[in-house]
Amino acid sequence: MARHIVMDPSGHSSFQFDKNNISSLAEAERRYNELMGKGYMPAEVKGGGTHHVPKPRQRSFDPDADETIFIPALKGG
Amino acid sequence: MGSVEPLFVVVVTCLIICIGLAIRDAHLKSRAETRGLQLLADNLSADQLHQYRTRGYFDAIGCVSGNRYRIAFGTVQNVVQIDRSGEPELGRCFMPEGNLVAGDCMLAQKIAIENCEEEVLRTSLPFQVLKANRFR
Repeated sequence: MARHIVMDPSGHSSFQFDKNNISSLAEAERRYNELMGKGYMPAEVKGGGTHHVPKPRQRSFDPDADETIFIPALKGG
Repeated sequence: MGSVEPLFVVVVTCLIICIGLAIRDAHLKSRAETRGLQLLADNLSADQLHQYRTRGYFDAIGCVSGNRYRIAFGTVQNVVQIDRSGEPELGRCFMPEGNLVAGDCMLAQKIAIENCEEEVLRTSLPFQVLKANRFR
């Protein structure tokens, strides 16, 4: 099972999906696009404390990603 | 006297409800903080996790400049740029939008520094760092 982790005030929400199930993948892609529309930054977990964040114009749903963390847009404090 | 008793009951009931809501909020907040810190721990490198557990902060390297940034526990003014001698040089205040817990905020700051430093430098507001503080 793959996982989308969305940062929120609850500490984060986790959504699992089956990469081999078409409807589950479609739901995951819909979630991905919705979060991109809200300005979230996707960070694919690569292990060992490393992550991959695509450039803004290269962001699209990757059905092969096992775990992606969605970070709200950054702001100055 | 008869009209005071119902008022007293209402006041006491309201107090009990308020206390109950406060306890529930504190519990939810504590749970969120724990979940955020666990997500952070799961996403730090072994060196960063060791540094955080022993010193209360961890360092992240900027993907463009190679500069070192030190991230301490917190959500506001908790990131400083470290100079070549290892001393805090300049604070960089930035965080994700929304009311996130400290663990989530620190993880977002680490990922941003390590993957999109340009955005961090463009977004963050600088602040002066006191010499004797939590970053040393």
